[in-house]
Amino acid sequence: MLRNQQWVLRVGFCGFGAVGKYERQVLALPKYSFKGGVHPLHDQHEGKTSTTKLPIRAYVPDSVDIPMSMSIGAPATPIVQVGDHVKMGQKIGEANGFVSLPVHASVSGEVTAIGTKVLLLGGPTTIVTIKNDFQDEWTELSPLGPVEEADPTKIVPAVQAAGICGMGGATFPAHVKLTVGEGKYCDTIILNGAECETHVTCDHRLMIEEPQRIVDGLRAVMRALDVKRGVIAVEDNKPDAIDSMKRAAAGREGVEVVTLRTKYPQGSEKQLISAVTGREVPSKKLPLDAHVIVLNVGTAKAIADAVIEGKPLIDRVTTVKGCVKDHANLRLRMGTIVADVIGECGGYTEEAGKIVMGGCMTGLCAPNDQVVVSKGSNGILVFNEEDAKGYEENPCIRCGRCVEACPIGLNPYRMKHFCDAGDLKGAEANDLMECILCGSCSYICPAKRWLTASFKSTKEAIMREARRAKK
Amino acid sequence: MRNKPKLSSVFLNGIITENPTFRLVLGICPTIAVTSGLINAIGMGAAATFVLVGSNFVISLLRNVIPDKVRIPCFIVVICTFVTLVQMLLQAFIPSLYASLGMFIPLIVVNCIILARAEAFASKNGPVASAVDGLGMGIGFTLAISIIAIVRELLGTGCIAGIPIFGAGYDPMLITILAPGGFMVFGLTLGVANIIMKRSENKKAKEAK
Amino acid sequence: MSLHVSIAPHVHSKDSTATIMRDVLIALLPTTLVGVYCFGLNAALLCVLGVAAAVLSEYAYQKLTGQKVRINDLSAAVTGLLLALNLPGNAPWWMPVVGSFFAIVLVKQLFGGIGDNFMNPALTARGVLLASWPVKMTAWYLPTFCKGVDAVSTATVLGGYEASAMDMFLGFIPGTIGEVSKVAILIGFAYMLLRKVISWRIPVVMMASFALCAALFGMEQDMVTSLLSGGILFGAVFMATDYTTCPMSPVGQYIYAVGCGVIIAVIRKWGSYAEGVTYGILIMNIVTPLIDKYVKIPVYGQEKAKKEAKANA
Repeated sequence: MLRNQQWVLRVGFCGFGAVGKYERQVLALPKYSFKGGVHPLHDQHEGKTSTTKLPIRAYVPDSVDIPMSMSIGAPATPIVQVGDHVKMGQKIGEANGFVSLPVHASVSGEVTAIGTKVLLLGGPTTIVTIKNDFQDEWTELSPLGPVEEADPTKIVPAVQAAGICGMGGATFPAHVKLTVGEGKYCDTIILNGAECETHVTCDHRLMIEEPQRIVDGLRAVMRALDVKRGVIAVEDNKPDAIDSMKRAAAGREGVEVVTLRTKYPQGSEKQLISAVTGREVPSKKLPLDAHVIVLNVGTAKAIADAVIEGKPLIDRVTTVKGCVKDHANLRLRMGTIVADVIGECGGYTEEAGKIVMGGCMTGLCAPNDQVVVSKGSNGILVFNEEDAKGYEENPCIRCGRCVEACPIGLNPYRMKHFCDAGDLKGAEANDLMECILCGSCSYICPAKRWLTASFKSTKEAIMREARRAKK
Repeated sequence: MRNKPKLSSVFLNGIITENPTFRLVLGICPTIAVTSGLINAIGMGAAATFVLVGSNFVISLLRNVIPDKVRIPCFIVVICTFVTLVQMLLQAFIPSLYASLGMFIPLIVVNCIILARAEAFASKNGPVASAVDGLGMGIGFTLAISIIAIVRELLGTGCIAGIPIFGAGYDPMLITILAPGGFMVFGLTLGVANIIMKRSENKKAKEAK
Repeated sequence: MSLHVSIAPHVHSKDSTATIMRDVLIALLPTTLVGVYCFGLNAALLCVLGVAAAVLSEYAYQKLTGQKVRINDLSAAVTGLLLALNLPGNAPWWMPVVGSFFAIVLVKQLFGGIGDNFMNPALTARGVLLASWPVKMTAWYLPTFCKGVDAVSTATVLGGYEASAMDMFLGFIPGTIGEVSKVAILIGFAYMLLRKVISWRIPVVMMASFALCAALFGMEQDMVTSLLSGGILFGAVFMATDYTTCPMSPVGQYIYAVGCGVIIAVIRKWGSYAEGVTYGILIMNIVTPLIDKYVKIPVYGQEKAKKEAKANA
């Protein structure tokens, strides 16, 4: 019965549907995109201008605090003792299980302490402190050789051994993503160069400076999984990166570069897949169920390094912005303390009110400036007191902007109603679990309602409840 | 059987603590329908009070005779008798009121208040207490609809009981004597009454502490 | 070092409730000015009183009930102005005051304040005024300069007054303060579209569905007159688009707008009122929660998940 009603509605409004289609085809066809979304800081080039032209420079600190947990999954177990001398790239933490990554020393030097530290709103994490001797002496590496000649079966194990995880921020172990389960297949690999997050420019610079390595990484994955199509997707606010990637991709088998419309959250896995392939990831399933694997361009670069040179993932590019003297794109070693990074950038220009690890839309707040750079840290944003101030929640005026902005097609205003009431069942019935916490609704809300925050906590509550029910 | 209740508290119960209109929200149909004027409201209230007292008294007398299974029809028969009495009396002595109340006189039979008191009170208590309860409830009902009627008539015509209050300069707000205005004024007086009663209850609770 | 800690996003759009309401007020400015020009100082007085009474009522209510005073979000001012623009130019001074009080206290605040009212406050108040003082609310006068003399009592175009299309477009016809000048309303509409305060959907679809119905039903007036007379354009642009009382989803908005257009056409054709905009929109206001409940936006991936589950079963 309900199906019939929907059908009648659809037929009744096919006229208006045609209008929408026209809009999509005529106005938006040259560039790939998705439904919904917002344009944060659109008038300031997404807040990126100050670092788009700055070349990546390296910074090596005096000592690093390497966390044993830098990705989703079980933390690694330290296998070094205080006083040990370690070389760069030497394994210092052993992975625990399949969804877990080994940890490598990011500098050469002496292990001075093994302790715990509170990082990014989580519980305390085990950290290994290494004092840098600035010798940059690599441990023995076992490269597989040029990507087109490497043994395909050895590529994924090499990725796992190199401790590579998604470097866009979600930090999901890459080898788990690249393991295609039984009965599934993958026909497209998408490299995510959208970088839709505000302020962050690390992927942008990487695509300009090391496009060859990115394409190599993509080819390595394509060969490992025997996939014929590799797409590098870049937003149209980075024309120089598109050019650079197009040049690097020329002549490489099955690799193409597509231009995306600049819109947040274009770089979210589901939205990217829809924009590039026109497919939808079924609800509560993984991209692989749409026969697609999405990797960040930074991840691809790390994979290329692991395959060609055998180097584990020990550094990454991070954009430093806000109330620091010099904005910069820095190549930072894992475990670099944020206070050191800010010192390298000339220190604070005003008193810091908030330090965000990542971009403005999804970044996590640091409790202090002693947190460290890890595999998912694409940005360090320092807010001044004025911008950091909390804001008051006003009553919903039902303007519907959140509904229009939601890339998933949810009703955030209604979900919020159930979240506020503590009605987990009602929230779930309104598809709260489909929410990707992109923050578009909170961004656009004129009443400044704490939508994403309450969705996050309610989602966690629902998951806790589900785990309890299982027990 | 409950303990024998005090008559004064039974009487006040109907007027304040369990006011049929403002606390029990019963008999809303006549409340909306007849409150466009004070005279109508008082007439309706008096008629309902008469029926309440009479039916409560008789039903209480018969409470041990009426079989439980058919009690509702029996109550209705008793109530019907009194309503018919009222109707005939009104028709004979106050034909103008009879004409303006019209259909709502026979409809007293199905007025929730009367049936509810028969069921909830008269069938469980003695005849004197029941009659007092009926009187209290009836007066409570009359007071409530009179208040609503005063507000509606005053705003809607500028008069109370037909006597001009605001003078000729007042431009009556017609909607209050129409049905939608009836609902609005009823809702508002209900709200105000509840606020007042809640305040006095809170005060009592504080004093008790 | 003490840092603020909050959950993302850490950046917010500059729009707030107050800026949106301010934009609506700006959009109402042209039609208000034309109204004042047409109907004289009394019209200006009505607008000022309407706004003042609305803001004061909101302030008083929120103070009395111990709530946070939110008159700074300007929503009360918008309601007051909308109400005043819905009055005839020569209405008595107390009408906008009573109407604004009614709109703010009874329709808006008693149901929970901004965002929780189930009917458009200004329009509901207009309905109440219309039912209470039908004669004063339908005493139409020609704009003062039209015939060179003050206050010529007449019918509206819908009531039989003859006017050229240009007069109706510019606003030299009898009617309420806000509704007469179509060009001023369209300027306001363009401004709101530009500022992305409202989408084109409800006004355009409502006008289109009304025009279609008018053609189908065979109105007494010709098509141009039907569209340019009465308050339909004002209603479509400023009343039907009230955030709180129109559906959220695009499809829901189409349904709502079509409903408004059809009901208005039906009332104009067969109803006892010459004008049906107020009741058309109010009826659809009441239907809105139902539309929001049943018109579902497809959730990403759910359709596909269902299909796959079916294929596997």
